[in-house]
Amino acid sequence: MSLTVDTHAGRAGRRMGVFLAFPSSLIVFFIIMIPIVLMFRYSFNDYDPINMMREAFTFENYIKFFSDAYYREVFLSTLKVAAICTALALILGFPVAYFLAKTQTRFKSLLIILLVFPLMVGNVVRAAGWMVVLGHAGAANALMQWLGLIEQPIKLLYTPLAVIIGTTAVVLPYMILTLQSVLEGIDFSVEEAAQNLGANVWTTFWRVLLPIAAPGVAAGTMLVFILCMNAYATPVLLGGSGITMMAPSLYGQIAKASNWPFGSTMALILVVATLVMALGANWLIHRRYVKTMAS
Amino acid sequence: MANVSLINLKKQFGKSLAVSDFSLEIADGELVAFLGPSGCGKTTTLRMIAGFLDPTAGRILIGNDDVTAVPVHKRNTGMVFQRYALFPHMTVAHNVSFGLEMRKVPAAERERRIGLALDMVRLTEFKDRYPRQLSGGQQQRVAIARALAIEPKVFLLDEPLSNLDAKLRLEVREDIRALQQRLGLTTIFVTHDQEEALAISDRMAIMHDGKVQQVGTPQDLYEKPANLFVADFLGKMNFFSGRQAGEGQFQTQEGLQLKVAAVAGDTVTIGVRPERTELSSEPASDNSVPVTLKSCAFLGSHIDVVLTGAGQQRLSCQLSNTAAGSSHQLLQEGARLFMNFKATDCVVFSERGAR
Repeated sequence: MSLTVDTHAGRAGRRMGVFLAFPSSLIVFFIIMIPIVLMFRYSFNDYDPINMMREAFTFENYIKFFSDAYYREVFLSTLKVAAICTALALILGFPVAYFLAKTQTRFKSLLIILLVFPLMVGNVVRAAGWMVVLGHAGAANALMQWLGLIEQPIKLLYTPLAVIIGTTAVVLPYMILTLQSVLEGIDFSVEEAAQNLGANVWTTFWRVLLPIAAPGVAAGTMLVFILCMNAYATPVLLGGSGITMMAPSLYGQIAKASNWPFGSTMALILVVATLVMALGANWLIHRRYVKTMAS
Repeated sequence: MANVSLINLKKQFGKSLAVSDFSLEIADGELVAFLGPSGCGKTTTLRMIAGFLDPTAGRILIGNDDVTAVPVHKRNTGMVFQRYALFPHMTVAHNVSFGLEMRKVPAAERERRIGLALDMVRLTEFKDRYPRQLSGGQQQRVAIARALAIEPKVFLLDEPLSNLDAKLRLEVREDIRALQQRLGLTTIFVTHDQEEALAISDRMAIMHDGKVQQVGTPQDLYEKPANLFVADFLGKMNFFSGRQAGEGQFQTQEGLQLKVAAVAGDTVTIGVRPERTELSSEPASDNSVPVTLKSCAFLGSHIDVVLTGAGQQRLSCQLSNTAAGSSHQLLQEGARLFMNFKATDCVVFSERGAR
């Protein structure tokens, strides 16, 4: 009898919880969804230079985007930069995360604070810093000249390379922290077991450590890829006219050309492409590594 | 399988000496337990044998090969870890297969050896399960199968039972001993549990502060401890400080005259195991020490009695719970009794106890 009462109370409590959470959930849902829904609607609207946006339902903007070589180029270079930066962040971040997860040093929390510190400085400020480093008379050129690698300063700033360096620097802490939190949970005696069974360091990494770390790699890759695809300040400040990426370009459509329908179309394409790529990568990693552990 | 020689092994971490001057010959097919409190250097020594640590000095021979400089993955030792260290993303069969794949064993032969190894630990029907679908005892048995499938020259176990509950511990322990004897495995078993070491090993090495205190069969170490540390670490012992007072006589600090068969000129401490003593209301046997009963603990098969001797010395007596229970009516708190023991049951030491 008392059991039934308890169950009823539990169920009622749960219902109460749902009821209480409902209003705020609704608000959050709308705050997140309204801009996207509006953009979605705008992307089917018409544009003319005199009347600006006109209510319509046309695929004109999508056709324009994919048939214009310039926008295809913007889209592809965004994908390329994001993919390269994500790969770089993974390759550079993994050893650091591995070190942080394994280290016994008492300076560990200090190291993590140092890692978080760049996140407290805005992207604009950090990009400005890179401008100083990569400029014509900047530190990078000075160093290479001093080392005798080059005779005349080379163009670094306002190139895709500058954007890749700057963006990778921005996303690296996210990658490291995500990987570290997953690596932290690994019992590293599996590495010793693998070596004891005859695996060298390389085989141990590929066949034991990486598969076990796969959930972290998937999470970090997804997060960083999304950040890279949507980067705005870094490509603007470091890419200049040398490379155009999606976020600055669509902002230009909306703010400078006042072409809301086309800007919205670009925004939507960016959102969908990011989602598809991120979820695709996640799915691949999970299928390759994680599924076996969860079955 | 092969014999193992440890020659003057030494390991230093910064300023602290983890293992100092460890020499031991382990015969082919022998099981040697390294026993000691935590931080005594037993695991460090095992890890040096496996190759995870480089010795600061000394040499390690497996068979007739000096493996001191050979990397872990080429040493051909089979190690079982305290926390199983199974590969969570591989099935039981794949875990066992891993070492064979590293050795490029052909697929058909591999299948056969996986089957044999799993059969050995009675886990054949679990071969397609993942480690987390198994109990702790089963996981450790997979780890044993994985280590043995590669037919290692030495079988190394690093506290393999300490993560298991009491019942499983006994079961896996018996499995290990049975396999070790059946296959004639040269085995080194690290543990801090003396009962485990006593039950399983051919010989044991008791370690303390990085030094080997004594090496011998379990019975030797228990009956003839070489020093106070071994005597006190392995089981319990009552100690009396004093000096020789004539042939077969020992005088304690408190002035008690005891008959001790083995007493010699350099004897300054004697000891007697609690289970070799008896309690009575009148003096009996070779030696009778007047004591006051402080407390009793009933432990089923036996009763632990805590006593106070002369000069507030703490003594203990272990009475077996016999059907007769003759002396049990004496067990009243504060009772004045005699603790009796034979002259031949006394062990002598030439070092003074710290207590």
